[in-house]
Amino acid sequence: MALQRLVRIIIAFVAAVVVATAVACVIGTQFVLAALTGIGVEISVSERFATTWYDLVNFGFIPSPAFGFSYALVIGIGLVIAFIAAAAMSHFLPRFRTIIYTVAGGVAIVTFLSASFFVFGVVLFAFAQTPMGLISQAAAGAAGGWIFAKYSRQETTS
Amino acid sequence: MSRVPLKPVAVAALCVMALGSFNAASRAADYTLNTLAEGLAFPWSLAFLPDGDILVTERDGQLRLIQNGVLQFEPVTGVPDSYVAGQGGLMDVRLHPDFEQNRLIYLSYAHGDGDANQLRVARAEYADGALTDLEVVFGAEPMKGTPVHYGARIAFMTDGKLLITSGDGFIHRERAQLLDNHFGKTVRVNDDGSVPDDNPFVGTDGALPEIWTYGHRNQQGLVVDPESGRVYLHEHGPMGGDELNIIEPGKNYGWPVATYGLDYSGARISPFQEYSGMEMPVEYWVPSIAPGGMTLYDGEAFPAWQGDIFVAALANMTVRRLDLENGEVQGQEILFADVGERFREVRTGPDGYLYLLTDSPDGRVIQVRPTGSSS
Repeated sequence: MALQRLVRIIIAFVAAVVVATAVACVIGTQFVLAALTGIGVEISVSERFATTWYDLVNFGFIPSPAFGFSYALVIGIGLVIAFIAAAAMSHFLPRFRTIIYTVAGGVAIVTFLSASFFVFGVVLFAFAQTPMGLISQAAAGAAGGWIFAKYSRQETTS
Repeated sequence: MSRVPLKPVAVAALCVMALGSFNAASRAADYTLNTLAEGLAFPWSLAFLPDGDILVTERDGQLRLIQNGVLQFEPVTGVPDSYVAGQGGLMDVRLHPDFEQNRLIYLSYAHGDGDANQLRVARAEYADGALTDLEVVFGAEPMKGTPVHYGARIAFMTDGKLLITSGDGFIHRERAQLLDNHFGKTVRVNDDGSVPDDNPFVGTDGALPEIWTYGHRNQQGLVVDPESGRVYLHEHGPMGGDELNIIEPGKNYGWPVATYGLDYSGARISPFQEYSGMEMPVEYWVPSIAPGGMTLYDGEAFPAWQGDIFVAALANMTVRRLDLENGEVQGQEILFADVGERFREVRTGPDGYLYLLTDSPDGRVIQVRPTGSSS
């Protein structure tokens, strides 16, 4: 049973990271493209789709040559820390478990993006420089937290 | 079908290869590197005075003097205070074309603080290790909150107008396409900072009249060909996409719409490498070499290099010699890789020697002269 539970948690975690990364990348790309259309650049649907797919693969899951890590890795590390804290809080507030994990996922990404600004002195991801961009990334983390809460829950027998 | 005799072909090929390597070797042996000064804090630029002295800017805000080949301990006085942070500080130095008459030098520097700073260019009279009558001739607008991407190169055109590069400030990249600000622009002013009547956007509603070209990122190389009047500019790309451009008034050089570079995260900055109405570079580098400065060699010491452009590369830690014919790059040679240091700037001295600045807290001025020439 313990092994089954561990496998379920791992699968839920991987799903959370994949979903959070995908949502963060897709939204991030739309912010970048919106900034370009905002200065009069015409972008077709196919160019939009191709750019989104490119970013999803090359920004989301392949390590950047400049940073040496991928966004998925960053999100994964952030979610590990956030979910450990969420697990502790859920122990005392089991009724709010899903909300706690959801909020923890969002806070994890905001914390990383904010910390990177103070550590490196620049915004690492251009799309996260605006409040709306930052909120969109928090939403991606929250989606990951919700996925994890939903699929890692221990099934109860009646 | 006739058969090609393989043995003579192989011998000929070996001869060609041997000749090629001989040429490369002889080229490499043609110059000698001589450290003229060391212990400079991130030297950024240099200017040659008519009496043979050399002024060197240090990014931490000092203007230093090399007199009779010796770096003077005391810095030049009267230099404006710089905002020293990130890539900012004291940057370029240029002599007025009529320096021997008016003693004017021009300095570019970061001004302000972490919340609000800008590129500034000021001029002052220089005499005996001191600046006097300092006057600001340009300030990039609006102020920004990042200590990076200042551009900050200065060059005088053949008509005596002053060109200044102003970078995009890193987080303001889309504004490089808008004409209501100085982010990502090259500006052209008279030597006193006033705006020439024939600038391309004079009279255009909503456009700043100083703007000469736009759509740039971080332009740290600017050279005017004194014979053709052609203006060469190089700019840093992000991750890849460094560019050498020939700039012309009123034209758009694409950033951040058309670029060969990617964001540092690996994401695209734009779907486009080319875009209608935007100029293409004459040369670009992927991966980035991080071009930090440039000269158009017109000296006598290295006749084979005359008319070529030399680009100092920071990240790549080499100098690139670009063989130019009528503004087109015919080939590229990698030089000085054995020095093993980041190169901030390369200039042609009045003696025909090349001068290199290395980018470090213990930076050097390196003189490149033909082997066998007297020092």
